Amino acid sequence: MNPHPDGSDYLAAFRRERPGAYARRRNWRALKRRIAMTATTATTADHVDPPDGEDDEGSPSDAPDLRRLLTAVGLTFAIAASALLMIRGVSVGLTATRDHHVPTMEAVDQARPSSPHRVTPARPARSARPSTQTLPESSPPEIDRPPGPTPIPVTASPRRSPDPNATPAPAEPTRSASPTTGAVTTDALAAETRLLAEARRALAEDDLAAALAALQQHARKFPTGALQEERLAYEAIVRCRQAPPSSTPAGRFFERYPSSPHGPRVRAACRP
Amino acid sequence: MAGTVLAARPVALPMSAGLDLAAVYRMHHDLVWRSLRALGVDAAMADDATQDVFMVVHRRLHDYDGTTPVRRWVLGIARNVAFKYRERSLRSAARVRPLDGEDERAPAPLTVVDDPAEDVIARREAAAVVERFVERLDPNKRAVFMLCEIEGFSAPEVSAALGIKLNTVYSRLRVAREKFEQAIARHQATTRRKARAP
Repeated sequence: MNPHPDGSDYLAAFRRERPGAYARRRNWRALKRRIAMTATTATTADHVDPPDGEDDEGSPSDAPDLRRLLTAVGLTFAIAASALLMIRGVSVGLTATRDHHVPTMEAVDQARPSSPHRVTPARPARSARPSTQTLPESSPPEIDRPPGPTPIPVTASPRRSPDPNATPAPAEPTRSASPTTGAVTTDALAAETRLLAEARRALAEDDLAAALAALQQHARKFPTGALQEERLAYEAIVRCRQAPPSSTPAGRFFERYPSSPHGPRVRAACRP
Repeated sequence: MAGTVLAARPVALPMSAGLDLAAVYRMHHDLVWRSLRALGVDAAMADDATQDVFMVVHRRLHDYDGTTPVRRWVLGIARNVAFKYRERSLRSAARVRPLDGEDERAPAPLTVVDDPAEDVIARREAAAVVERFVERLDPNKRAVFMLCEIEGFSAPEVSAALGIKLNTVYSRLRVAREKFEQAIARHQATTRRKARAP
């Protein structure tokens, strides 16, 4: 600073010291938090689902529970499908996940052919289907991949079918003209995803017959498919909804006392 | 330094006219903070108000058409936010008034322990002198003085931003400058006196 400062030196010092670098960083962090909170609030405004882990026993009716279950299954399905597609070289944008839109096949289709910047290189084989993995020689390093959740190695999960030959039946037409095994597997996954998305839509519209038809079609074509778990979950939901409420003690109770204060305890105790 | 931090951690934020929130923040955070203080926002609320301004910027960045300089656009938002804060402050029953003579207090003791450079100490002392001066200035003159002298807005810009006549801006600015020169002179005289004292 000037050893004989005048007014302008004082003002320059003030400009430099107020509010200071610490306030800049602190406010930026707070701003990012607020923006994230705003985005979360806006997204969840359309849903009644509580955050994960929050107790939902206070719900007086069955409808919100069913919606939660559907959403949870849908999200699981979406995450599994996204992870599988990322392994196969297709990345579904984070936006879909952040907006809580379950990525439908339309979204996957959009991400695949028309968004070349989202196509990621095939990863080194980590699954139990090494024969279907073909790594291009010129694949860029992993650092070029867009940020996102770490893909889950599908066949590492014990819940998945251990059968490495669980490729789909040839009845499902393939989208790609390429005769490679990898392309066939990707198309099979796409077909599985499409069928389950159809079932989910039908469930959301309370069209149980259509949902069941889609699930049965999936079971016929992909009996040990990658999305078998999701199919079984949807089947369970359909069966539960098809069963008359009076077929179980809890159902009879809720039929008679739909708003009972004992409802949460009964619901918790009668969960499978 | 803050710029490096922000650049290293980009966030997905909207862009308009080649701008994104991080860039606007980097360039105009200090201006917003000081302008809010100039417009009467308490120091304790300045951070919250600053974040409010940038939340508005975040929401409206898509609408920014580039016809107005960004700093003037941001100042307009800051003015509206400051107005709300002032109203809230006036309505607040728990508003704390300074005790008699408290505004005459000396600036807070400097706690420079990590950087003992004399230059930094001198700069912080100088900043504290200015801060004391603007806190004691009449609010109307303070807004004009800070926006013109510290932020570098022209008198017509300040006139438009504050909704006052141009001549009023000039007269307030002239008075505030005179008071500022007197305050600096007093401070320097005191410093010299202390330096001569055994």
